[in-house]
Amino acid sequence: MSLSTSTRVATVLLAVAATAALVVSVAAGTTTRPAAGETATFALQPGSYPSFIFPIVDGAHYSVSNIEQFQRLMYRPLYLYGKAGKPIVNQAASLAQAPVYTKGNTRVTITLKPYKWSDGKPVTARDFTFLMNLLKANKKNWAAYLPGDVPDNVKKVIVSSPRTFTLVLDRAYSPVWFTGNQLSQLMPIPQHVWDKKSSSGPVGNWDQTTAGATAVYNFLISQSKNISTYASNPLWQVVDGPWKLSEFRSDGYSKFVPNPNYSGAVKPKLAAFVEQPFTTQQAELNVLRTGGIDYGYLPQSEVAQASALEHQGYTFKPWIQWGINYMPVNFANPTTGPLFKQLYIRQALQLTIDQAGYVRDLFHGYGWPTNAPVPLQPPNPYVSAYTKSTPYKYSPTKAAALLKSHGWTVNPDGVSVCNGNCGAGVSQGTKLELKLEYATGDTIVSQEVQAWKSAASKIGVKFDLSSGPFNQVIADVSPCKPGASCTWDIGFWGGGWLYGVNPIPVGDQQFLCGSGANFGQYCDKTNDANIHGVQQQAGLAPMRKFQNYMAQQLGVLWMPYRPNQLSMIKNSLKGVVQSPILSLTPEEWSFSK
Amino acid sequence: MTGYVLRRAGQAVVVLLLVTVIVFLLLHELPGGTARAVLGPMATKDSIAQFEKQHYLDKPLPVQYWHWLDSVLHGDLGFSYNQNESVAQLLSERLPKTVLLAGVSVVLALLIAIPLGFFQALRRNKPVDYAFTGLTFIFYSTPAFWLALILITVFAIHWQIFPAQAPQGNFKDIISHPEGMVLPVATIVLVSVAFFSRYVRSSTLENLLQDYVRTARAKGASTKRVAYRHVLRNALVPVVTLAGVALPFVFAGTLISEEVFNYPGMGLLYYNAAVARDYPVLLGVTLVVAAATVIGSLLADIGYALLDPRVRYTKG
Repeated sequence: MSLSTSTRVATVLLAVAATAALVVSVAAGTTTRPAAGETATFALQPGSYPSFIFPIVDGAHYSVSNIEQFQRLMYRPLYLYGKAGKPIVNQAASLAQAPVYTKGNTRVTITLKPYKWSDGKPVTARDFTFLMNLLKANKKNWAAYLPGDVPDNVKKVIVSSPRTFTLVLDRAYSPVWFTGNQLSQLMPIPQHVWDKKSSSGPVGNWDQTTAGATAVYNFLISQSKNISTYASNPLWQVVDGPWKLSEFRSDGYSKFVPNPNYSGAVKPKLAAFVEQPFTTQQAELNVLRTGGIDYGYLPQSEVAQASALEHQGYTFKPWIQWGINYMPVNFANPTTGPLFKQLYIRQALQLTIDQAGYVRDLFHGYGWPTNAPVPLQPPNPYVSAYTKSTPYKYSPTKAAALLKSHGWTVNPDGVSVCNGNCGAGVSQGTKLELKLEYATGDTIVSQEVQAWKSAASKIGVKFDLSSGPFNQVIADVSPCKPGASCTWDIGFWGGGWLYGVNPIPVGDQQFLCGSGANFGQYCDKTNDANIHGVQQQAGLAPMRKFQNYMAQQLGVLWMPYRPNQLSMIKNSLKGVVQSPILSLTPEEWSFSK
Repeated sequence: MTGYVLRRAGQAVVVLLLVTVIVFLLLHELPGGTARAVLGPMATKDSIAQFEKQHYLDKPLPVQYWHWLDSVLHGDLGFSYNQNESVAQLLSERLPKTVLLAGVSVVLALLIAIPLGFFQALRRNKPVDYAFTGLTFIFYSTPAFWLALILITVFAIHWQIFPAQAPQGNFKDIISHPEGMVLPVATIVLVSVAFFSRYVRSSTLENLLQDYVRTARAKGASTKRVAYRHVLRNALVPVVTLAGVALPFVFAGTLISEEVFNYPGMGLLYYNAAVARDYPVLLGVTLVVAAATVIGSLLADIGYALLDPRVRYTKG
């Protein structure tokens, strides 16, 4: 049949439809680009965005993105850590003058700097006691709370002047640890605005009773759950930090403008500071390549694009973070726990981990080994010479010899078998077969695991690999009651441990007997005593003793660590110093002409 | 027809309930603890215990389910564990974005696929048919992720015609910057056209061989009339059904665009909630998508009846 008419009509329809997208775009006009100039745009990592403004953070929101990169911009702690790229106190950016420890380090006197809240009222000791009262009444809701630590260890607060107060402690503490891991978590909050039990209720001294402090806390938490009002709620508009929130979206997009009453020495020079969320690293890279971000990052797998972006006006700068990486081994597993309790087994496993090789080949050189609970990078006053020496350098030969000397028949590329006295609880015929669960989503983590599996096979250790999302892995390898259901052997979530909110690397959360994040339930009385020494004795000698012991004892298996991100910073953006604590200080930034 | 719709609506409620029960059970069968997954590696034993108590995770599964269902029946879909926002609020923010992205994409894909498939059927086995088949299959077989990156490289980075990311902000912000939607929509459209056009083409070919076509021609109907009044209408019936039940596919399909173009919609919300074990969000999204699928299926059946005079739901 003749189809000339129908063909023409169909063709016209097709052409109309095919050009529809173009019509939409033409009608819309020009493309939108992020504003440049006086507004600096900072790219957030995928899945890492602010969602909690109230400084007494609960467990589900205890993160760098909520604390260091959001709340700290508005509410300054007594002591802010991270200075000149080192994990040390930034006295100039802190809210208080250096603490004075007296009476054998059982008292600490703090004098606030003459700061003002953004509404013009002074920041006083009352704002600090307000915080302490809320913490004491609601400490179990505060993610940073550990039994025995602040506020438990503060017996009394003596206010001696509007800006000076003394904390009476329950015993002597190391000034290094107490300032770094206790006082740095405390930030005065505006009592004259927040001490109320409802939106319409009056401001009072409700916090001075436990019931009142609970009611105030509940009110503030309820307000904090209404995130669509973050930029408009009068509560959150009273700040003592350099920035005020002017726009906030539930996807984490945050726009800050300078606090005109900021009392710190370094005032913001930017007109605004924007935190831009991204769904994926690829999405961020796409925008970065168009020049739409002032301070972004390269996915580690895309490091080859650094030079191209440098030609587009960016500076490549890895952001070193203050943390360690490791894999817990399950001492509580009734089957394989006896193996892990043998130091020589842990040593043999550690000797098959080629940290230097992973850094060189998998991290493209952007990383460093972990040898102990104290990080090697960035340069810091805490790390010891022994830790720096990498006590267990990669050597499958030594690992095999170690096994042989303890009664094992080593079967390279097979499975080693215990044929002698292999240690308490390890019977003859035991095979070196272990389960290893690791986190997916990061290619490099998978590559590390595969590389380790290959190296371990040289000494006859056979890994049964399984994988899952990060959250699943940390759930699966949690501390478990010894018994039939406690079956995991080795876990690797890849992210390690960041000493952010607690910048003094004491390991009390990960390595103390029975502590909540001691995944493998490593328990050693000497180690516990060493940790308490770091917390309670002055000076850095206890820190060295603690890390040297852990480096030798291998309560966990150490893995290399990576930068927080491979930053790409526009050449025109000046003043950026990347804090290893991962806090942001955009008040120091400016654009050059 | 009214009775039929009411009956189907009743069935839909049962289906929805079953879906939530199954999803609820499957979610809670996942290994490991929810509290640890949500609170992270730094959580203490006390904080884990408190979290479980606060969210009824220390109760038996039937109690947990009943608590959730009771809340839903009272209009409360729950509160996200880690996004600090109610599920209803999250859905109200994300759903319109996905509906816009998926809706525009599907409409555009159909606008292209229907005339294209029809045209190819009428010109079957001609060079132009082969050419369009080849072209559409190139896009169909191209991974959406890769296609999106090519579009970004060409149109956002090289030519700088469109932005590399979708408009940010709420629905109003997106509407006011539609140019940002061009590449995300184009990605979905390009991979969807072949999917739909193949159905139209084969359906048209099938109808061209039917007796009613010969009868119409014998009665003197023009080629144009036969093609557009008879064949096209009948050929669209399976496409309508397909479009109706394709909602889950479309939601899943938008995930790639959402990821690559920085467009946080329902697909990404569900994916991230699954990874983070954010049960309230997972259940809320499941409920909405299941409801949309059931409604889509119902609408498809109604559309089917309207398009095909042989199918009338007078009873049963």
